[in-house]
Order: sequence, then C-alpha cells, then structure tokens
Amino acid sequence: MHKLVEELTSAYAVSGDERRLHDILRSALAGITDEIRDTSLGNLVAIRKGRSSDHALLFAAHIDEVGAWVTRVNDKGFLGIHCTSIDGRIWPGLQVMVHGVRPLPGIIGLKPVHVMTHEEMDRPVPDDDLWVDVGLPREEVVRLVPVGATVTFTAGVMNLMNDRYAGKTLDDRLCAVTLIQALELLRDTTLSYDLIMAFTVQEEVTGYGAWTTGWCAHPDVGIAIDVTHADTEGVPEQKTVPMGGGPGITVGPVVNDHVLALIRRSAKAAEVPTSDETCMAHSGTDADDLQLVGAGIAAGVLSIPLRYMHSPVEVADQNDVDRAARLVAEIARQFDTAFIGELYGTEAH
Amino acid sequence: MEQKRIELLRKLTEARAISGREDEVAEILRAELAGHADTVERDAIKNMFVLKGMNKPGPRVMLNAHMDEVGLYVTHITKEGYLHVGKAGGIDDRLLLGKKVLVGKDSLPGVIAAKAVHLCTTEEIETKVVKVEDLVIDVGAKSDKDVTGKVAVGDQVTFATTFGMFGDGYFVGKAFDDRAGCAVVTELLRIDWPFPVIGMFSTQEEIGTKGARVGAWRYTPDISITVEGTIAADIGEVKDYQEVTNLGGGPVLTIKDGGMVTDHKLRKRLIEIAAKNGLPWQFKRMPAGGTDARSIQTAKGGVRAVAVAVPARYIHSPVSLIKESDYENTVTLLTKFLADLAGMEA
Repeated sequence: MHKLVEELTSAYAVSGDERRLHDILRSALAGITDEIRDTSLGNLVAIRKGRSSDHALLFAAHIDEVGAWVTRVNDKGFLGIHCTSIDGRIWPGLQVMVHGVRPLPGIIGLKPVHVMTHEEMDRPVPDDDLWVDVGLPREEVVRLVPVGATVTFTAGVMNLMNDRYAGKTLDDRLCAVTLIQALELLRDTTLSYDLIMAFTVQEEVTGYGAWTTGWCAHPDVGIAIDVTHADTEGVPEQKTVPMGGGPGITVGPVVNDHVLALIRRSAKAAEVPTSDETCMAHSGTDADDLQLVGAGIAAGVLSIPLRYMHSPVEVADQNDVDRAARLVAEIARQFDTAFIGELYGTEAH
Repeated sequence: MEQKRIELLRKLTEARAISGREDEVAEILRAELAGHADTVERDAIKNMFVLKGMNKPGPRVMLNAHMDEVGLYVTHITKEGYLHVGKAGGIDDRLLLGKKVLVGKDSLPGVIAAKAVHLCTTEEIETKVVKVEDLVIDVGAKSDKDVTGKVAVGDQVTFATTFGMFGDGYFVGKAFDDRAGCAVVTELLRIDWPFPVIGMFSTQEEIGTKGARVGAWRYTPDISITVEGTIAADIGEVKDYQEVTNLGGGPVLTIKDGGMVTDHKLRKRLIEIAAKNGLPWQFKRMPAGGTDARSIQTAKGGVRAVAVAVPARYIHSPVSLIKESDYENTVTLLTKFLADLAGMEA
C-alpha cells in the first residue's frame, strides 16, 4: 500500500472542505511537479511541464468525500443529521467524526430491543431517527457543533488479504494516490506537452470542481479517474468489473473516440489488464463536466474497481491502483504530436 | 480514574470472546488475579472460578460476571472466499452492515459487506433490513483456498472496536456487557475478605445463562452478587420512562428483570450502604433482560442473589459507552457492601 493511501483517507473533507487536504497533496507533489495552483473553489491543480505548453493533458481525481450534515440538536444534546448518497442503513452501530469547532468522535447507536417494537426492527431506521451521541452536555454540544457541521465515517485503513484493504473514502482518494504514483513513475521522463493533475472538489454533490478546473486549465484532453463498482456478492456480474482485474475503461458518448484509442493503446503498451464498462448520458464522474467546458474538452474515464462504495469499509486492491498509475503514466507519454494530429485531424469527424 | 483500572478495562474489552470461546478473557483474568487467589480452576463448561478463603467462617459469597460477548460466527465459506455468518447472542441485524470485524484464531481482519448505495433500489434502502443470513464478510480472499487454514466454520467473528476515552468522562469500546462486570469483580477479588469468596467468571451467558447454571451448582454460595453491564436507553428521542437506566446515574440495582426477582434484604442493604456513603444509585426501570443471577438464585435449594450493574449505552452492538463515574461508584459501592458484610446476617 502506498503511504499516501493512509494519509489521504485519514483526512476529512466532505464536499466544500477540500482545502483540508491541500497540505498533504502539496508535500506529496513537491519535486514531481513544476507548478501548483489553488483555484477559487479549492481545486488543487498541479502542472508538470512538457517540452511545449501548446497542448495539455489533464487528469482529474476528486478529493471530496460523502458525509452527512448536522441539522439539529435535541433536548438531550444528540445531533440529528441529513445525508445523501449514503445508504442510511450503514449508520446504526457506527463510530463517526463530527467536524464542529473541533473534531469530536461520535456514535450512532440504536435504542435497545427492550424498547423497540417488532415492527420497528423489521424496517430500516428512518433517517430522522438517527442520532449522533458525542457524550457531552447539551450546552457544550451547542457550543461546539453548529448546525451545518459535517459528519463523516471514522478514518482507519484495515489491511485485508491479497494487497487489498478497507476503509473510508477510497472513493476517490485512491485516484489522487494513483495520479501521484504516476507522477513518480514519470520523474525522469520528458513529456511532449504539459501534464496537469487536478485534484477536484465537490464531485459528490455538484461536479463544479471539474467544471471550473476545466476552464482554469483548458486542456485538450481531460480524463477523469474515479472508482467503479467491483464484483460484489449478490450483485449481477454485468453491473460490476472484476476486483483485481486492472482499471476500468469507460465506453460511451462521454468519452471521445480518440481518447479511448489513446487509452487502449497505452494499456497495451504498459501491459496493463483492463475491463470495459459503459455509460450513456452520464458517467457519474468529473468527465461529465469536463466534456462540456467552454468549447469542449475531449474526455475520457478511467476507474479503479471498488467494493462497497460510499461505505466506511470500501475495499480496493492495491494492484489495481498500481496498474492504473502505470496506465496514467503511459497515456501521458503517448500524448504527443502524433496524437494531437489525430485528435484535431480531418479524420476526427 | 487510575491508569491501572483503565488498562484493565482496555484489555478486557479488546479481548475477543463470543459464547463458547471465552479462553482469551479467562487468561487475562487469571493473570490479573495472580497472587490474589487460593485456587483458580475451570469446569466442564469452562467457567473460571477464583476461590479465596473457602475455609474461613461466615457466609460464602459469590462474585459473578460473565466473560462472553455477543458477536458472530462463521457458518459457511463460499467458493469466492466470502464468509457467511450467524449471530452469537442477541444483536439487532440493523447494526451489522459496513462494520469492521476480526475473524477466527488469527484475528483475520474483515468487513461486513455493504452493497454500494448506487446498486440498491430506493425501495430496498427504505424498507428492507439486510438480515444476518444475507450478509457476508469480505477478508480480501479471492477464493476459498485463500482462507484455508486461516478460517474455519464455527470460528468466532468479533467487532474490531478499540477501547478509548470519549466525550465528557465516558469510555468507548465493545463488550462492556459484561467485561465491565469482569473488571469490577477482578477489583473486588484483589481485596482479602474475612469470609469465603467464590469468584465465578461464567461462560455462555449471552445464549441462555448456561455457565452460571452449572457453576452455581458446583460452588453454591449463600449470597451472590452478579455484576453486569446493563441497558441504558437515555439516548436520542427515547422517552424518559423508557430510558431503563441513565449514564452518570450510578450503579444499577435490579428489583425484577425478565428472569428473576432479586433478594429484597440484600438489595435494601445495598441501598443503605449507598446512602451512608453518599453514592449515587438507580433502579433498573424496566423489568426486561436477564442475567446469570437468575441461574444462581435457583441453584440447589436457592441462593440469595442480586444483580448490580454499570449502565451502558448501545450494548449488544459493535460499539458501546459507559461512564467512568458509574464504573468507579459500582466498585466503591460493592467494596463498602462487602466490608459491611462481616457484621451482617445473611
């Protein structure tokens, strides 16, 4: 496991709080990039200069995480929460972090069976009945936790068998790790054009991070790297890609044909196994926004197989991360004059 | 609170012991009590007895806590290397999704799989409880061959929860039911009493107070105190009259629970001792649940038995809370009670 996996997934940044990760990223990027910019919304854009800056290839990995927001404090000093994009059935029995004036550990418990009806036990706990216990008197809670404070899963990576590991926020911090690993691989390589690694904000809520990054960086090609569903017990095979089978490559209208060809031949050159997945109107990644920035950016989507997405125990395989990093590095190498000709040539349409 | 006391709680709550697999806790207790017992022995159901001064005059006093915790156990290993599990003790199925666990003798790390939210229908999320029989544990295996020799059907699965300080004077951890009781009894057994004392660390409480049933037959006391971690529902939107007990309210005395009526005389004396020493205490305010005391009370011709407990929030779940002051007051109350006992008629 790359040391950044632990570091980046241990940080807390629900959409909007991404600057909390900047220091970690900046120190990881030192020495392997030429320029780092912080945009208005908090995207961190790192540029590795090529021989020419006439063209640029951008990879985008979002750095925000799913979480909940505090909506109210009840008479006992327990916190009510609101969340989207998370299966509410995950919360009961979970240790969480509440990000108020200072971080506070919390517990979302259930009331005991003795005061529960059978009817209650047979249905999931409604979101309105989830209460966070921070073990403080109400006055303290009100002082330390303003309404709107975020609530996240608790950090901690657990090593499993076969180079696999479990933890929160592998979506999408693993892809940030991938981009940095790729830059490490390219340390001694001279690239034809600029390579831009963008660590984007707010993917989980709006996609505005990618949208504004696309405008700031105006690359020729923008490839989103995100996680995708890996094979999961009880889920039909066609809805997932194999865990440990290498990165996923998305095929569909979001992805530019030439970019897809570039990705495929790079995978072949780098001897990286891949799995195809499809999308139609939306890939559910930063690519959806990148594609439509300004006069348009030729987009692509790479993904890392992930089980149990948006849970505190997302599981990934480091081999897939390593392969994705090799693929990203190879795509950067192959982003050359010949490819630019292909992208803008008469054969493009 | 003294660091030594806190460390005892840490060791005991982080130990892994579902019903029938209590050895790890027993060994910790044996080491903690080295030098304080005349005899330490295990029986056929693996209760551990710590005997002190059995030839002394006076009433034979049993101090009891159970070593087992609720958890899961492996029922089946799939070809893909996933583990199916069953419940060891009473756990609300809704607490299980997406939790970290430790499996088998080597504490193999694993997670309880939670299908990605994107792959669930809204109807599933809003109406369907994922039952334990539909859950699997993922240890990262690629096939059943990966876990051969590491995991076997029947192995225990415990929650990977570490002990720590929490909020305003709380302890967070797993298995305070009943490692809090084990810790209290350990502290009481380190004191030399002028009467015979039978420390009984029982097994299989969570699946029907089984250890205590045979243990109390083997060493039948005149008086028995079962020390527990009991339900506190002073949480969320639970109504006042349903709270059962509350954290910070002091040691919990049971009048009646789901299994017994406790001895009036001993309970009355406990209350008097608490009042005399200015210690807080509270009644368990719902006649539910059951403890080893019910099995001890009915041993042979009967035993005067009471249950005293440290209130705990979220028991029978991956993570629970107790309050430091409640723990200390429970130790103090019972120490004072036993000190008073020499001059008391049983």
